[in-house]
Amino acid sequence: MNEEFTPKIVGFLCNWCSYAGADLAGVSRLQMPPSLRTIRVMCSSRVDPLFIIKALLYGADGVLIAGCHPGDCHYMKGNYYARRRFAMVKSLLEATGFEPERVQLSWVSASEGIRFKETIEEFTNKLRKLGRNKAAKKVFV
Amino acid sequence: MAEIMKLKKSADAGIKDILKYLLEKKKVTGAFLLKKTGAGSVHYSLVTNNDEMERSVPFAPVMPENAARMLTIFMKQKPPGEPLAVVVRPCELRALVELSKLGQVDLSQLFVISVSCPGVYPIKTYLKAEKPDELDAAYKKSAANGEIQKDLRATCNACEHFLPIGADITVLLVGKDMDSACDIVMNTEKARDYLSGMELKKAEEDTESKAVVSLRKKRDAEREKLFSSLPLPDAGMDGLIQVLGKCIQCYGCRSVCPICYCTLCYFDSANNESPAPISENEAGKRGAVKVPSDTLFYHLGRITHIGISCVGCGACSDVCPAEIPLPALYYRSGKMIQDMFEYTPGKNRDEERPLSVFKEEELGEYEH
Amino acid sequence: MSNYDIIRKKTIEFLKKARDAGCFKHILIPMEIPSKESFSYVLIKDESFLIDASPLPPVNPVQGAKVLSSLTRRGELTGKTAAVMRPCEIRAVIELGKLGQVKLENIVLISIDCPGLLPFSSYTADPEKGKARFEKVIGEWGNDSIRPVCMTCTHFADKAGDIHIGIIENNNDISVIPVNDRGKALLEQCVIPAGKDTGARETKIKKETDKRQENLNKSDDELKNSLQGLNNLDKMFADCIGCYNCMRACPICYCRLCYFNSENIRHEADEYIRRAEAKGSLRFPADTLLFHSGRMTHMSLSCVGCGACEDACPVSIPVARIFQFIARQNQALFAYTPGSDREENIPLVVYKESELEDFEDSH
Repeated sequence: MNEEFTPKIVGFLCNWCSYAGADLAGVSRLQMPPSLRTIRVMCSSRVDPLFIIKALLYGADGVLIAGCHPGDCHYMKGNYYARRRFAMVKSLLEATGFEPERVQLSWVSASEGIRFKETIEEFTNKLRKLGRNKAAKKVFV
Repeated sequence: MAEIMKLKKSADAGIKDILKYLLEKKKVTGAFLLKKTGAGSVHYSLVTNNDEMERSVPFAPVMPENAARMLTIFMKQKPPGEPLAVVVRPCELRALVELSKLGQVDLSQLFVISVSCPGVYPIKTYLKAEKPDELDAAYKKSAANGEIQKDLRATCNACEHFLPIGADITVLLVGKDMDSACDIVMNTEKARDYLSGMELKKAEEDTESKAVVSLRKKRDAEREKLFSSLPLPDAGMDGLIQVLGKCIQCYGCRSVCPICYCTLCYFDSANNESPAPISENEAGKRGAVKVPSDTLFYHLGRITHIGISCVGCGACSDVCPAEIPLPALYYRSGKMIQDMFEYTPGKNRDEERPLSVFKEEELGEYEH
Repeated sequence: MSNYDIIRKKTIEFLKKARDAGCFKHILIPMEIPSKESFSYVLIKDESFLIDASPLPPVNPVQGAKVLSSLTRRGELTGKTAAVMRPCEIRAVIELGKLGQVKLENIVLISIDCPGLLPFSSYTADPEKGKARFEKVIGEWGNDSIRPVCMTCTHFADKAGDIHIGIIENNNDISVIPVNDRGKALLEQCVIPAGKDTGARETKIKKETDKRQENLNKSDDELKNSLQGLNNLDKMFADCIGCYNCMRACPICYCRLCYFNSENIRHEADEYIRRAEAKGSLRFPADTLLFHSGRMTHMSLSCVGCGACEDACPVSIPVARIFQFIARQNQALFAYTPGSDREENIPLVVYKESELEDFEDSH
């Protein structure tokens, strides 16, 4: 059954790098599993930790945050802050046993269409192994 | 070894003397400390005259409100023009330092008196006690012996920072007989200056006394116990629902939290309200859905807001009508986050909060 | 089978039948939480969940009106929904409707006779015992294990919704009573015979109301003395720690940002010092009595005496009794019973040209 299962990934892609990387993957006609739901944000640091938690509680199987490589941020240092926030959320998920494997932080530049495709493939496979997010069916959230 | 002043009287009386002296000599305009109210309860009060000071109970073993929160109310609009003495517990002081980093209080006018802290009773236990004297006696005994008093707040018994960080003076309560000793450590120049006119007998003593060391060890063990008392992280999602299921969403934990300073909380804002169709959609997906939902979202979200500065004061646990073991959840998750950043909230006034700064090379293990 | 289970089963049967007949699509109803320590409202779309519903839970952690307003204040429900609640909850719903906080368009309100509720903290401390105590409460129609404010409630059988479920007159059945034209039409639609009014119901209600009225008089006498004068008031609220749980739990307090949390009552430090100097000391949090009396002016005309505030108070102040005591006097002034009539305005938004002369200066 798990082979059939296509996880739902909520992807927060930064406008300047990762979104463009995704675009490049698209126009290059690279084949990817149809698992990603993209939300374009101006910077990876725009991702409020609450977005990640909400996505998971409302049933996303995975949450991807993708931004410019360190040092390449369009706003100079946004991705450094984003990395700290991400680490905080991940550590909270670890502390509470809320499947920290379901969140991922990746750096993808505008020229890395192939890297974007690989990121999606890898994450999708990982989530397939993890199975569906049980939070999606809970009544008492 | 630290320089210690010894007053041969009870800790309460000794510190009252000092405060009266400070008021008399106009070193401070007022003192902020616990006091018996006219109606017979115990609350923090701003005391400006020495007759009223008589009714103060600086070391009553209770924290009805977190002093840091009260002091935020006191000086958020505009800090006082003249110095003020405050008597606070170590965790309250740490919360104050965090709040000052967050721009909510100004510590420059505060003369801080703190204690080596034996802990406090839950609010209800103390305020509603039928025999408060017995509670006091049991408290003093365990404090003198550096022992765990099982009726205290769970977080107090699990507290690792019970020696104050950055107080002007520290009154030693752990390992001392509170009825007959008022031993004071002068930590700062300000303290020596303010009290220069008082006749105090000096002595040399190690603040890491036997009782302190022994209490620290016992508390470390208690903390392990507290942290492993939750079915988390092993039980995962079901564990979270089990722990938080009782929540009635009164948000009392937020109201009394010293770190939660927002006038309008995100969780009360329009951003956090969903129109009916969203709930209907969720009910469709799940078969049924709790209303109002987002209980887990609130608590987990709150940890992302306060976890990094959580001082583990336990105010949230006392106020929860559903008696959810919040400290175990908040304190533990907060500590895990703090440990990751090697940050101890309230320890260093000059250290920035981890989320406001970064290093270019760090946290590589979190990148993919 | 216990009375509790009979009521539960019969009510669920009725709801199922009505739902199958198309009276409504979704059901908002309390359900026990997985840890079995408490209850919570759930919105049910999949009928198979209905079997676990508890239309008459022993405790009420979140007031139903609060539930409905959180659900609908940003927009009405798209599917017709039955909301099964106690009379005080539905009365609060009606008040919130007047205040624009609930959209009732797609909601069928179903009230149910209420024997009272157990204090929340005593129930969660030992739910098994709590269930046994509540079974007795149903059997004896209220006893001294219910919340003090429930013991003085005379609206326990108010037919507040569109449809009312009567349980007071029977030990092993429920009667479904249409309350208004809407309820009547719905019952006809699902071909459920309306319960026969045998007079037994009225007799029982009368008897129980008298009992509670007596409790009320007694409690009023006690409160009258203990609330008289500033010192007494001060004593009543002495332990208040300013957590505002009462306000948060109150169904009528709907403001997003309460005045008492706003910057309006925060002052400069020197102002607090001046206030302290005037009397030697100033308690913190300051303005405790201002908060409670101010809250009374905000919500007392609509206070239904549901007791949610008292359940939520961490220092056991009898807030619900105090607020009801004041509220009933205020309501009597305008001959207003909150939640009794959807068309009637809240007294402070209307006026008569000649009224209340007693309150005017005679000069």
